[in-house]
Amino acid sequence: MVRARKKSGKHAKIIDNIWGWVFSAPLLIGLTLFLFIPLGIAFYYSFTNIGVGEGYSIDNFTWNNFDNYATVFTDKMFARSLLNALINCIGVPIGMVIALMLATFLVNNKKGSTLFRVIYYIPTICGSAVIAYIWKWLYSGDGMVNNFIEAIFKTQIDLTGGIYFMPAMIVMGIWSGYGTSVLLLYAQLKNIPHSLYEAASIDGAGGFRKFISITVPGVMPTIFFILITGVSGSFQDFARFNIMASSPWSDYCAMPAYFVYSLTNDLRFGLGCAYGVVLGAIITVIFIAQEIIKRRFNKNA
Amino acid sequence: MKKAKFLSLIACLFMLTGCYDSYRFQFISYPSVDNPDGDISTNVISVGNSQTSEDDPESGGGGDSVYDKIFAKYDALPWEYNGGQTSITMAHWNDNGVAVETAVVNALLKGFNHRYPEIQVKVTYYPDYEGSYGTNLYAGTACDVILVPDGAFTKWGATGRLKDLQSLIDSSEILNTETIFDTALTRYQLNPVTKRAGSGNQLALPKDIGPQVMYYNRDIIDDLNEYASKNGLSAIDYPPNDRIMTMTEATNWWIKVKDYSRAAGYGSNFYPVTGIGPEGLVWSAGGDFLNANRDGFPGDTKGLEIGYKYIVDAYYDYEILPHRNVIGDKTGCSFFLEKSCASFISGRSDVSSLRGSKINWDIAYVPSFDNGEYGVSNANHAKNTFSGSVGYAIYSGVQATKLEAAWKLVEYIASKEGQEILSATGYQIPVYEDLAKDPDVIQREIDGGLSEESYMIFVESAASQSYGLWQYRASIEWKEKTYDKFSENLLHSDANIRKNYPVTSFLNDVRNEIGRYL
Repeated sequence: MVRARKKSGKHAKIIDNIWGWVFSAPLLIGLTLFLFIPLGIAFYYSFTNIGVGEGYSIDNFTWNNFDNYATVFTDKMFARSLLNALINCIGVPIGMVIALMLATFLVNNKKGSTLFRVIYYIPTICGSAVIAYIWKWLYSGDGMVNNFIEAIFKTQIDLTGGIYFMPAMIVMGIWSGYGTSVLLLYAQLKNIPHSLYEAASIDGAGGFRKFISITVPGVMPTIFFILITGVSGSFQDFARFNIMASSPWSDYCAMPAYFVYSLTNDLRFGLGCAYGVVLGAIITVIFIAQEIIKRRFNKNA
Repeated sequence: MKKAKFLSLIACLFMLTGCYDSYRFQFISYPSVDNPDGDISTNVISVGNSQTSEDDPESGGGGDSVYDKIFAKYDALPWEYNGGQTSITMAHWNDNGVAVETAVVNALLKGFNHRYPEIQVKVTYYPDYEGSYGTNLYAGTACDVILVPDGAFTKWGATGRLKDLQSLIDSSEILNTETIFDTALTRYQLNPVTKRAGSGNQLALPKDIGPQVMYYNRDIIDDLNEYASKNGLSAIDYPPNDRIMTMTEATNWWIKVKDYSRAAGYGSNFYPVTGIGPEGLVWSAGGDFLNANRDGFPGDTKGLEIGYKYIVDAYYDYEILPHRNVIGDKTGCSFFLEKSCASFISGRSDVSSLRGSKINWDIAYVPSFDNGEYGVSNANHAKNTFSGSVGYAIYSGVQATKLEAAWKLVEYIASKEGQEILSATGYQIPVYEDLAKDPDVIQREIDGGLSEESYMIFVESAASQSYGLWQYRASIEWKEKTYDKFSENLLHSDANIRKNYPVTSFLNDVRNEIGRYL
């Protein structure tokens, strides 16, 4: 009887496992077909000269060892684009702090919070290209921003290129990205037990102390999530830069993802894949570093 | 429990179907030859189902229509096709607005279906066509007939997936490529060994040729002359339409327009001209951007120095060109239409926009350097700028049963009848020099508001203006990552940065970096 029950239990477990695989299958099939296999192929191509153009061929591409990677690692403009991407990351913590302040404000002021959450989220639901065109108009010579600058400083500045381009893009990035952060942080803030704040109040803690000791640790998982996705997104930022930059290859405007796009359009897939692999590796390293910091933080907490 | 699992499975399958559909949608956005129906905007066009009866020459309703006149003119040609009833696919761009493209293609296909009613053409319009359609070619999923912008021709040709048309051209009784503008025909030739354009296999035939001219606003000149006469100043003449102005003449003209317009209250955001590029300046000053083999920096940089020096001076010394911060995303034409400039340099395609406006405009040749001015001693005065063009090619993987039909379409577009229909749309001039000078074509241009002299500027410019830098090599990155990149500081709005970065330093930077991209 016991044996039969055991057998039945084992059988049920197998059935459960099968069901588990069945439920996961759509996602796994999609990931395999459209992510893992293309990633593997791209990695393989990054060691070949597959592509078209001078020195390339379509049907008889050959293995060219690390030539593509040598090109990537000696490309000063690519290095500069990585620096630009790093500068672009400055907007992530700034945006997060603004989002945290707004989310805290919304939690503490329930009246109209739904309306404000909708308003904050509007930039997120607009396509990045739409936002980029709106901001390009704002930043143009006869746009609102330059009119304002001209009224104060009696001169216009070029916000679509040159030294002011990256600060202008950071401002735009913060504006277009904080909507999601506000919603995520708002949801997390609502999950923090109110009793903790009450206990802290009884112990005599002030508002700032409560914010640092209760609110921040309470939303830390979300903060890390925003940082990871934000930094990764900043390194892959492309569409809005492509639209906004007056000259995408200028030192002030170049972004790493543009190299992959441009080489694909040029049908030079091998070299484009190498740039993509290197960019992916850099983002992975940043992700791992952030994960390590997060674990240490959690451990200390 | 079992019921819950069953329902979950159904939900899962539903999701899977949804996933499949979403992926399928991505696939069908880019149709293959085997699946021509899977597209985003397909029009099945044939005579009788896409035009009104009034326009339809088959209906007999428009006895003296433009179509009938054109058809009658070429009825004697052997419009033969033996491939039977078939349908072919055609890839097209919608970069200039799908409505305009559709109108032009419909006009063309109306003529095509009149000659070849057995062949149905399914046209698909693609966004970001020039940037992305090369991957379709590469992947072997291209349409039977492909629009080939000259900017993409070299790299698309290098895929080996464009059919060599030479034998078909040689056996054609419809085409006579002898009188096609050389500048239009040779840009679709590719050397199979060097993969350079300009000579070699004929992989496409031109649909159009878009020479550049200088458009100017006659009313503004008249207004400034009224101001001049009131203030005892010398008048501004209209630019000549019988010769190319020298840069000295043109600069004086633009400066005079600037001075008068500012004095007359047009404001500091009004400019005499937009659209001056370095190409024509460098070429006409006797220089070039690469060496003769196009595999290195040129040995003689005098033309480059003169050309780029002029651009810098035009912005900051003569103050005749608007900085990019002023013009922003606007085209020269839209800047001109809002009366922010007196003249602009651009291609033929802007004629349609200007004809629809209330501006009293005319055209002149694009000015260029001549010997004895600005230190030029080796001038190429006629090479004042480049022209643009698009052509049509046949995908090399076209099914054998559809090859004749595909060729008939490409042949028709490049034929004199096809060209005359296209020119009648008002968007282009014919690619045949003799047809461009045909009295019927000239009369249509006059009816459209251009004088014969002005129209001939387009024709003469088409004969002399060749392809642009984009066709020097398969990739344009040598220009974008050197000349364009370093010109950022050369033309910087900060005077201190410009002062520390003269043209010689700019060219040294280009020289040092360009080898990486060649």
